[in-house]
Amino acid sequence: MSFKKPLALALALALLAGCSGGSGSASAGSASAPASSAAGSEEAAAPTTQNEELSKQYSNLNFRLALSYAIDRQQIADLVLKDGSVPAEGFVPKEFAYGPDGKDYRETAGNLLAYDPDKAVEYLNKAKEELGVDNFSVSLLYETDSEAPGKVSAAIQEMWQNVLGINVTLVSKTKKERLDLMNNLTYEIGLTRWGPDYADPQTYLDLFKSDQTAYNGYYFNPDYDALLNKAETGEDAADAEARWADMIAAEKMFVEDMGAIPVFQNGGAMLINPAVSGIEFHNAAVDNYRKIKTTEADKNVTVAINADLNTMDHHVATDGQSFIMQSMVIGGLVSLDADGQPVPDLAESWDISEDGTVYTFHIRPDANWSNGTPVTAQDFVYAWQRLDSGDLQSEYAFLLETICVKNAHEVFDGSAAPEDLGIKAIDDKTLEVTLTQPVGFMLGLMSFPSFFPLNQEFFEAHKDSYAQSIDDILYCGPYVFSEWVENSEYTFTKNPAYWDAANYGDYADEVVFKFISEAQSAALSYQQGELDVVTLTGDLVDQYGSDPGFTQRLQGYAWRLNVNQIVKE
Amino acid sequence: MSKYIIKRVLISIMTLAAIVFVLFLMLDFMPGSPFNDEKLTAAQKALLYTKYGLDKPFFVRFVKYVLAMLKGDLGNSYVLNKNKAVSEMIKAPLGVSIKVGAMGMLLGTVLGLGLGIAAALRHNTWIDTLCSVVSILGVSVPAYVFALLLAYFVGFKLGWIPILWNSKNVAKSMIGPMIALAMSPMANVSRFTRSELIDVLGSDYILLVQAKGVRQKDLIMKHALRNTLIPIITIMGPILVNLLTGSMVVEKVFGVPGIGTMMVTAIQSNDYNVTIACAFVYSAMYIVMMLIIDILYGIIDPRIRVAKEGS
Repeated sequence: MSFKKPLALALALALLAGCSGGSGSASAGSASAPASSAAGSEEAAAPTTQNEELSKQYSNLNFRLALSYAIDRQQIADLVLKDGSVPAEGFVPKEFAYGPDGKDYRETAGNLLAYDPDKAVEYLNKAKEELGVDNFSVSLLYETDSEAPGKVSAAIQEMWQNVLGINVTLVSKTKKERLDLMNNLTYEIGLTRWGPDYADPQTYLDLFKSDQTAYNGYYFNPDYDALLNKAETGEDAADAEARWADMIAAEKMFVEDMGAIPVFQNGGAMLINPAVSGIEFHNAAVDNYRKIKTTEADKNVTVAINADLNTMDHHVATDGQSFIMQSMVIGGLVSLDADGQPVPDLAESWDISEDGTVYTFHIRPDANWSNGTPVTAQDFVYAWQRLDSGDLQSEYAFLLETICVKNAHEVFDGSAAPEDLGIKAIDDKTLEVTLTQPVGFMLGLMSFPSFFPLNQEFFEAHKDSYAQSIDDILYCGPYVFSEWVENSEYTFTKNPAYWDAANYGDYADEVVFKFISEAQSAALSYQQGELDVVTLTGDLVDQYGSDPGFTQRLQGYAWRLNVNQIVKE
Repeated sequence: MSKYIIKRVLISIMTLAAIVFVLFLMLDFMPGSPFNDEKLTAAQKALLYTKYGLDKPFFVRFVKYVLAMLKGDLGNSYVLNKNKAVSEMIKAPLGVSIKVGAMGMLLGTVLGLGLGIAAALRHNTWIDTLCSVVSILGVSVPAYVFALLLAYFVGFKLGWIPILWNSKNVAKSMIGPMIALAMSPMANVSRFTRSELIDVLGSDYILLVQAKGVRQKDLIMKHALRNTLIPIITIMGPILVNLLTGSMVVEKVFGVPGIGTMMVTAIQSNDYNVTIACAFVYSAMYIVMMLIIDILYGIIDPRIRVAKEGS
């Protein structure tokens, strides 16, 4: 009888070991940060010895330039990824932010990157001379949670080996391990990405300011910091054109320094039933599924999602799927039209003070919650105060600071009372937001779920169970959450109490989101007509590329190679 | 018999307690954190750790967890379903997984027994060959591949079964995952039944029974099969392990909202409380099944019971 006990233990061990996906070669990840010592004492636990040789290698500008020139980004986008991804032209992606002249940022900033094998070799030889070495070995870290990073890394490995003749070792890790390694600076080169929080280059460029130590322990350039500070809070903050020029100059500086090597901008391949229309994709905001139409008789649209709903609490959410569903049932002061421009939603109009720092929103008189109480200015005040509270520790509280809401920082760290936050209810339907300086992208951000309203009375009555079932949420958007099958299906039906319900007749009666992690099964089910919208992984693109419903979109995610100039071990 | 059962139950409980400890320890060594967002700064992360009490020493957290667990509180989720009670979260998926798993096991065992008996009785005929082919396929084709093939051919090409789980039609949705899960138990059971039964049929006491003129049906059912079952019950343990691990991939292919899918996501995102709960449930299911098997042993073969009580 004694064999069963070890067997049971072995099962538990096997289950855990088998699934934790420790696929990499090095064991540094698992040893570096056990949960007990994480965060609070992370600095103490982090390795401190620096590998001088490697640090010198990656600190060499010519070496980094050689690495960049040896990457054929077009090939990576067209032949490796094939999902609508495009080559990076700089750190800031395209079709994402538009300048004061209405032009795409990228159009004005131009293409700062090129594939040039001859130049690459030239720079490599310079680097060899400067460092006094014959050849280089590099290791490239990527994550295995999705398949794209592995494919791209393998392609880059081949390009570097062919063009530069250097040794490239690939290190595969799960995303969480990769983040650990990168945060601790115990890696050499790492493939990583950044998703925008709002439609402004600042969301990318801020990442490499010297005070953002978490992600750029290696890029310190006071000129870069000065330029961005001038644009964001300094003398150019109020001058849209000068601000824009500063951003462009800062990006150019960053790419010339090769602070990181931009690789590609994320695309997305999908299958969308030709009978279905009206899904609005936004590169720098939440995709809009509120205006789906279908020519099919049942007016029902089923969307396959490859990541699950995490929470319906819009102050706690951090993932795209949750934001999409929250946007369907609540909504903000504004929403975005198909071109990404803010249009009235819960606010029917707004006035902006001459100096651009005081916004007065007029909330629709007919905007009501699903329990019949009106949506008021107070609901926004309460919501923003909750978002900014130190108790909640919302991961998106920083957005209040980003749009320069008065006292946002002070309220968050507790040095000011919640009432001091720059948001006031003048009366039931008039809301006043005070900023410390004009912020051009503030209005568009009002469509982001973190800024959605929250009814204090309802919230306090539900407190711990708030947003955990369909009855624990109050709705004021075009849809209500009508069925919640955990880990599986999320059904939304029309909200009869929606202020614009009269004009919503044409849109889908029912939108169902179905969580399916296996893309192949989802695609087969799409072919059978069970699903209307499916996201394809790269390997399925060849198979479904000629389907009438095949659609490619561009996303705001920018992938880059971080080159660690302070390699620790 | 009751003394034997009590002893087995106590051992099982102790094993479960040990498992919770090991799970807790292992999660502590798992790389990464539940707060994996690239956008979090170290300071924010530290505050989140404090908020959820993850900054406390290992034993403090462990004792707190166990005390809460005894009251039925499995903590809250950090990632999968933020701030929701894990005990609430796992209820529905657990029900789905148990239903699908039990059906798969039952189907596989019954088919396996039938196939094995048929092959043994028709030793060296086409039925025997078929049985061998089926068991080799069942053992060697991974559940993931089999599930995909099933979804593609039977689900997509023939359209006989739904490819994806539909919560509005659970009975029909279960067919695919159930068959996929039945494959491995069927293969193993048929292989063992066949070889055991052939052995038993060739033994002296069967010759004696035959000589006594017992009917063929009684000979098989009463005398041969009963002795065949003992070794088969032995292999039910390993089969169960296959079934549990297989269920994770099968659930993925058919989009079954079960505990396997949940556990994989939880591990990937370091959702500690959900991971512990899922792994614990898996271990508990396994231990309970082993307990049942042990007790069955005693019922089927009195010699085991006697021997074990003696020791």
